[in-house]
Amino acid sequence: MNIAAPVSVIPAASDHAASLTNRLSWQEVLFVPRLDRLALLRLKANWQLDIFTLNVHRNHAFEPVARPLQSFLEFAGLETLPAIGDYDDALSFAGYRAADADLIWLDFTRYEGPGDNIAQWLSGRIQALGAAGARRIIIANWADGGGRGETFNAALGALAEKNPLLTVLDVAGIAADLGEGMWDARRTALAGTRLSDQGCLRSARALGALLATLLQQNIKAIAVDLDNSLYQGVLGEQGVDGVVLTDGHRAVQQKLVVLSEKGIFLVCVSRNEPEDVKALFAARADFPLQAKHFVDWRVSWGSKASAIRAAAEKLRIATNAFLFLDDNPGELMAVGHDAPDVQLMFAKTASQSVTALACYPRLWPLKTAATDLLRVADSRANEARERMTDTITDPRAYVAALDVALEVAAGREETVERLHDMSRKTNQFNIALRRFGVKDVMTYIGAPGRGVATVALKDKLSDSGIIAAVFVTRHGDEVVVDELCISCRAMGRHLEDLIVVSALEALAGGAKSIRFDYRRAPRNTPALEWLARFSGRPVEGEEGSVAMSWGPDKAEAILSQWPVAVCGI
Amino acid sequence: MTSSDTRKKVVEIVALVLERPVGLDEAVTRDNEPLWDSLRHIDILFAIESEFGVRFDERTAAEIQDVPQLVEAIKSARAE
Repeated sequence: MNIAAPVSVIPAASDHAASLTNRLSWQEVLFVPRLDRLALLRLKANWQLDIFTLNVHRNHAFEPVARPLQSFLEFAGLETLPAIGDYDDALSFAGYRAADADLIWLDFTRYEGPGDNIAQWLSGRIQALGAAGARRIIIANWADGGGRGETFNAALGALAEKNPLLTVLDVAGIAADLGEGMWDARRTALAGTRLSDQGCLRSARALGALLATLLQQNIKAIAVDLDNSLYQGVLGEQGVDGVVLTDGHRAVQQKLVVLSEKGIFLVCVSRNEPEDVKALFAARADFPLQAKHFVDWRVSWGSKASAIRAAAEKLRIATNAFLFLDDNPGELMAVGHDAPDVQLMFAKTASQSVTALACYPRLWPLKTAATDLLRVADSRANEARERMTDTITDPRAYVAALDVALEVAAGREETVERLHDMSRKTNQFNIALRRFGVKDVMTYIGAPGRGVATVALKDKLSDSGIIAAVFVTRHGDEVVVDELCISCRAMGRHLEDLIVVSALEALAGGAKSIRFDYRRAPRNTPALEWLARFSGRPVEGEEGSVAMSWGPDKAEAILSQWPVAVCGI
Repeated sequence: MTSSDTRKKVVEIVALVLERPVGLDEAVTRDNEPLWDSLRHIDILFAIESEFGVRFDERTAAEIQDVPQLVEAIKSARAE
């Protein structure tokens, strides 16, 4: 008798329904407070995985983390075979070959001296790694508390704030949560690391979520079910005062509030009577999650997939940026079937929901940018703007009524992460779809012959933050627009010409012509239609470029047509 | 759990870690199985400790060479 290695808890199957069922069942293994290595080993993905490369620079064993990491990555649709280097306290990066991400995995107790001295040394090694061609660098911080560790972690955090290539994996946070359970002194000699099994597994989960956030598009919205997801009970049966806010459900709601405050849209998607739901949130002051935290309400007896699609359209985001949280596997399967790119979170228990909300891949932004914080308020303001377009038909009158102001900034290092995000995430108004990485963006700042500008937008209803990015290269009298992205939040306000011209004023001084490179994709038709109209040239074929004459008079002629304040040029 | 059940579960864990089918009576050892290196040995130990709720001392953990020794170590750890 043979016992086969891939003993999956779910029968292998290739169809979409089997893959959906499998992914839901995985969540009962991945999102539990105490992880189980054997249960992780049993998971076998039956969906498509995207391969990426990962270098590991280390001075203690990474292998006990590598195997469980596979499961967390596979859940996010990713796969890697990490290139794990030899033990090297000096981080010499000998024979370095660039990868999609580099992980620095060090046991800092092996180093002597004050924490800030070690951080200073590490800063030099990070610079060396960047110079060698690293695209994204992740550093696991110092897991043992204590004075040296705290000093070091503070210095490392400050370093990451300044360096857009660098992200910190917070193993110190895991250690604080696990306490002594983080370590296993008996096993150090054999395992090559002081970390315990749980320490390794929790590090793998955090690293998997972080890598998914670095390499994939972030989740922007959560569609939230009500009954037995946010509280215990059924509103339609037990009434407003009959549903119970358990400690676990309070924790779920608190997590959702934090995510909302970080700029994640919350949409209520529930099969209930709208009046009952309204009454619930009016009456239950004990709920941490209040009506004000939701940006959209989809309460009906209709399809939840249709509700999510309608919310996505209203919020101007793709359905693949949605996570749907529900306790009912049938509802989850139905949404997974009808809207296959929506991510699904199985709220089987409140405890599982809390852990999933803390660890779900792509959910937590690496750094909460000012723009993220503005997103929710801006979305609410869009409803008021849409009402104005119903009553004001002249675009200039509409813009004047809004008191629109633009702020242009060229080549500012603090905008690198936002520029990278815009290039990576913008789909509808993205002309060349070059999808610049952080290092690509940095080549446009301060390099001779290149330039990049951001445009921030505000009006009397809200501050939208940075909503456009323009990347250019100068060739003599001609400026080539390599990439032009405008956030979908700024679309539909008749401002595209003004936004682009304002940025070009900052970047194309003295140019006699402007050329726009373009590439056609399924979703960037609005950008290409705008380009054809703006340039007066046909935009044809899958890719190409269009040129138009340029000069200060032309820019001025466009700018002067609009009752908009532009500053920073 | 009988000794036979324990052995079956241990073989399943070894197969999962080595990522190949392992016969219930197969004489797979750290010496004759190239995939059973020191790092996969750690995976096996961690998984077994978690599954059976036991803790091996460092010397035992280092000396285990094959499935029968794993079964024996589980039995001893349970008896302690």
